[in-house]
Amino acid sequence: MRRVLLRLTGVLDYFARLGLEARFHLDLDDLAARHRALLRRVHPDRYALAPPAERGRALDEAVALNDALRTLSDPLLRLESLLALRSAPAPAPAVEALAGDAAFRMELVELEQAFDELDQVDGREERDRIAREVALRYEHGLAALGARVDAGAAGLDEAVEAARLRRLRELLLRWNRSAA
Amino acid sequence: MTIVGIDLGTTTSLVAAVRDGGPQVLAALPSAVAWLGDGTARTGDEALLGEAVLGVKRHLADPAEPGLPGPVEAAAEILRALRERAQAALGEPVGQAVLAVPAHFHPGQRQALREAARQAGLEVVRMPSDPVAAALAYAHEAPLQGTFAVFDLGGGTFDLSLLRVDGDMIDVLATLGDDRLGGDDLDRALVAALAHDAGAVVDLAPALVRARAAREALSLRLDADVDLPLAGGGRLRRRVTRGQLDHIVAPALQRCLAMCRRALAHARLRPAEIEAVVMSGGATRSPTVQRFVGALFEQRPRAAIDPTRVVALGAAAHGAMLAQGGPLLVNDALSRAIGLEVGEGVVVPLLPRGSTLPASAHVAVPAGVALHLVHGEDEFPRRFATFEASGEVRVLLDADGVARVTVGGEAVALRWPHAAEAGRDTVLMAPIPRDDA
Repeated sequence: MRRVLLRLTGVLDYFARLGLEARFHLDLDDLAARHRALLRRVHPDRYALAPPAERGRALDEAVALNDALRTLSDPLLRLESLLALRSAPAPAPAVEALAGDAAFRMELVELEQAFDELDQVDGREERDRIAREVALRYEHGLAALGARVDAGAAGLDEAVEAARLRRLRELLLRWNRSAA
Repeated sequence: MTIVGIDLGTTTSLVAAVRDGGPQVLAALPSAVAWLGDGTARTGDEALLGEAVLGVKRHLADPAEPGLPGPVEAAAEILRALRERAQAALGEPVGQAVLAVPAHFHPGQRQALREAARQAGLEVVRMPSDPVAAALAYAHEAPLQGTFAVFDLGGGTFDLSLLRVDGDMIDVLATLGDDRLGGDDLDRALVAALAHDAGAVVDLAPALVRARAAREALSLRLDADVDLPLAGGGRLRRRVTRGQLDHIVAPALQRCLAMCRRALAHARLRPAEIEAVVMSGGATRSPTVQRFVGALFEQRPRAAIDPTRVVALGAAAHGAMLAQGGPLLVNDALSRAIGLEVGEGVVVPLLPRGSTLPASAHVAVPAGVALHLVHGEDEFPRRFATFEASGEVRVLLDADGVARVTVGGEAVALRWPHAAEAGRDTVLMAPIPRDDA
């Protein structure tokens, strides 16, 4: 089945929703605790018997809180949210710029080929090694880009780097699935 | 007014309510419906006297045939019967219910169940997943804290859920299930083993009933006599010990345990970190099953509350909690990923499996393409609803895992396969495949 990445739209300030400063480096325990404290007030179970309008408002609040937690708990989605908030170039120019990055595209193709050519059983160790390397690169890339964004950078370079990281992550996801 | 708890089961349905401080089962009936020529329906034991429709639950979201009562109508008849019996037992009108749903039900099946309840005159105030309901039944007796597993082995389905109670909230951490694995497989394994040893061909349907009886007898005793009818007449009589049964059903139970290990790995938990294992579903009454589960989780599983009733009792307990505003607030999670199919075969992932409910996602959609909501992982998403829209589409899954779609704040009508567009004034019998009868 063919898959495209239609970009999920809507710039929402999830940081503000949880009363947090918009930064990449976050205390995840603090994030979870804030979410919980806010959710408790608007929880669907507390409004299950409320009049429809009131129930609807509480539901919207609860959805926004859960969406905020889900997005901000994920480092890449957190970075993308930050870039969107800082009005970094919209995804389309970033994706175009990335498309012009022939070296990166070539590298991805080579990585995929190297992985696919290895046998599921005999080549397993080598496959794991390649996947580990890409995973490390993804992690390091996230940390480095996060630091840059926290230092105030949010231009086309940052948007392109985020798009690169997304491609690496999709590759890792595909490999994970084929291993399962 | 009392909020009743309902477990619409594949074979048996129950209604319960909290009375005198504790949840009690008010009524139980076989999940069977028979349509009569005059358009009325008989349910439960009365339905079984004639040509009954069984296994309704498995077909809830199947496409409906215009003009015929389908699984939703059949489910509505069962829910109506439960509601009437609950009213008789409580001596008051019943209009609100907490309806437990299998954790693996997709949004289309959940919607179908809600629609069936509406037809039965019941407002569904909440639809907790079965494992959450089972945990709430225990929580009603004594406060829970920590991480729990719910091992739910029904007649035809298996689900393993990991839940965490933290203060006043209960979260679903992971759910894995197999809707092709259940207690029936244990009966099949027993019949197959006995027939193979004797080199005989059994008459399968009645043999399975006998095998179940033997399996249940072995819950109480160390050996039991099995008497299987043979295909060409005659009988196959054997004495089976509990040790032999353990050996015979081991492969089927190993499949359950493999799934438990995967769920633990998903949640990054070791068996020893599980506070308690709650048993749910008729097959878990068996000491054999309890021993297998106990060995994996390194503890004695909890079956103090009857596993065949624990879901209905927990749904009733949830109803009482909603009325009181606590003590526990339930955060369920998506058991499958949700996506949007834009045009043919192009799927935009919206919400990953495990997303805490309620949740939403936005996506910009071009005009003039077919839009289908899909569920499932990876390469094989399945459609469960269809709609028309363009622009900024928002897909929202409510606290019960039922989907709704809005564009610019306006609700978009969803078409469900189970809701036929034609009227349903002609009432005829709609036979449903009796694969799990």
